[in-house]
Amino acid sequence: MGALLEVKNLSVRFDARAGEVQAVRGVSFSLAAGEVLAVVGESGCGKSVLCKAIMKLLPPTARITSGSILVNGADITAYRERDMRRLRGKLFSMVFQDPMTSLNPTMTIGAQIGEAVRLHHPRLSRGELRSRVEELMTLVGIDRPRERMDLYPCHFSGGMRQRAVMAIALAGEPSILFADEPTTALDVTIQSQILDLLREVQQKLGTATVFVTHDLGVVARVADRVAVMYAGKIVETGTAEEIFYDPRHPYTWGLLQSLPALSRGRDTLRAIPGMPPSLENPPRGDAFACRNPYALAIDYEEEPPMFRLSDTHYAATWLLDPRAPEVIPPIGGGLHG
Amino acid sequence: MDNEILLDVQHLTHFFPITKKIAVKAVDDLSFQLRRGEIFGLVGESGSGKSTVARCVMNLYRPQAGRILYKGIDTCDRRAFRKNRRMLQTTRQLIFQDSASSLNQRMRVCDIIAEPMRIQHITPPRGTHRAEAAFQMHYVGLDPSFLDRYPPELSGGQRQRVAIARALAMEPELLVADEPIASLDVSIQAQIVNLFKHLQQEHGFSFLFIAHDLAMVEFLCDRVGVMYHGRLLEVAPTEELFQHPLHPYTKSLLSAIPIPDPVRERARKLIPYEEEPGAPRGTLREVSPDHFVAE
Repeated sequence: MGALLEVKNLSVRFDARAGEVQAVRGVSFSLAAGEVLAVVGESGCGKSVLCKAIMKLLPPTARITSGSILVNGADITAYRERDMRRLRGKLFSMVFQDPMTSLNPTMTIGAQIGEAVRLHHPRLSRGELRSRVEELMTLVGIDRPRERMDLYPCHFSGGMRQRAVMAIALAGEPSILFADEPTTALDVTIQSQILDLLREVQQKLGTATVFVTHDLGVVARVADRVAVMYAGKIVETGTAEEIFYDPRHPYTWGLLQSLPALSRGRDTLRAIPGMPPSLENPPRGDAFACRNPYALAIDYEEEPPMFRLSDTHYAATWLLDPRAPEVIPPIGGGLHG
Repeated sequence: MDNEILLDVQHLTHFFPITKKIAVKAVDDLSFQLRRGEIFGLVGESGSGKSTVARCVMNLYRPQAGRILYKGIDTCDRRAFRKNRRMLQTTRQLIFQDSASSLNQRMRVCDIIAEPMRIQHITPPRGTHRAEAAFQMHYVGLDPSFLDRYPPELSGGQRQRVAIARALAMEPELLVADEPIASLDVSIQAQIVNLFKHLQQEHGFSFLFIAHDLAMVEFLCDRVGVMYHGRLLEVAPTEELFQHPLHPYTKSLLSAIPIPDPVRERARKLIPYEEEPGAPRGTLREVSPDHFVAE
């Protein structure tokens, strides 16, 4: 499968009052058609900025300082707003965390989905538009679409609103869907339903999905591949199986260990100590070193390169260097089977 | 843990009127007991009335019916409340879900933490209010350099710690935590949960812990009550509830917990729950020691 989206060495900086914030620092990844990639990391690690940079939805204070974004082989890094508009919705669209702020409270749900449909198919008649809206609402699992079309967002529950937002995002039949923490504001049961829906839509329409979240626990269900981000960089990437059964980066270990499901029977959760570093002037060497119990002396001096473990599995940690001492991963392996 | 009952909620009912005729039954004839030194979890989906319970317990709402006994004092009775006002206001503390809106943006962190002591005219045991704030901050794992910062300068996890430090400044006996970790990152959630566990074990705090994240509840709580549409459907010790759930809604909730394991997680099936319309309202019945189910 050829890569649908390829990001090479992308860096994004923000101009802040106190100086420059390096939100994304040299991120490379690729996304094949119909694939689900989960981007996991703590808040402030640059995962949302990464999505917005690809869709060019960043505020004017942000700049892409290096790198390129290729879609189907075409470089869109230098595209201007006018060209980007033609791509948004058709090529990629986005679902945000809070469905209440992405919906207009004064318009009916049907009108809002219809608006998105009309943008892509301006010549539809009123009847055709209505049936297309109905079709989309059925696709995202809203029962009785005919009645609910004329309701306002305030009549919908959180899960239903998120479904409506997904219907809008899917109106232009995009090839890539960016889902930025789509389940964080929702309950466990609803979260589970939305995750299933994401997977279902992806299988029905073949939409490639970039799923952004801070919770490694939820990605096991939906993701084909996982990229773990820390301080603006991808520190480990691999298939879901590789990340969950054979994680190699100490940060991935930390994220997995802090899940309560893996601490059953223990007295305390194994939290990652400390806070993520400020990206105004990122520390020298490995940004994770000061929170890393496995840090080596070299971690404070030099940034680790990406070590290749398999065709799909890469991790950036000096522990994988042949000269590093042997460390037994505190997690993984035992989970299998 | 002794079996002294610290908080006794009896037939609590709270309606929110929408029009003169229609009212939302946020909490409907709910009873449970919280023992001293235990963490009682209240779980349920959003809109099930968990927060309303917390607010009734803290006297922020006046329930339409039912009694809430705290140390044997009926807190809903105005005369009893006035008589014990100081004790009730100092020994019970509430931590809100959204620390961005529950902390005053224009107050420095040290003033926020010391404010309850100023209000209650308590002489700070460590000399000054500032020293007391620094002590509480150290306790919840915040650097003293944050003393003169303002809440918007802090991250979500740090703000939540300030809110916890403020609640702890009164050395309460009962902490009501209304989804205190829902808005935080998983790694920070773990730090806060460890802090709660430490507070319970080392200092004997009692918690009413409200959450929708069942995985955290399983880890933290001693007993759990499952709420649905304003009613308690099942109450049991945590292990018993997660091993032998009896009510169909509890089973549905448990089936929704994500498993961090791709193979098992993809095979996991969500058990849907539909309340039968017109089903009789069940009352809690003890099926095994300490395990109650609505039937």
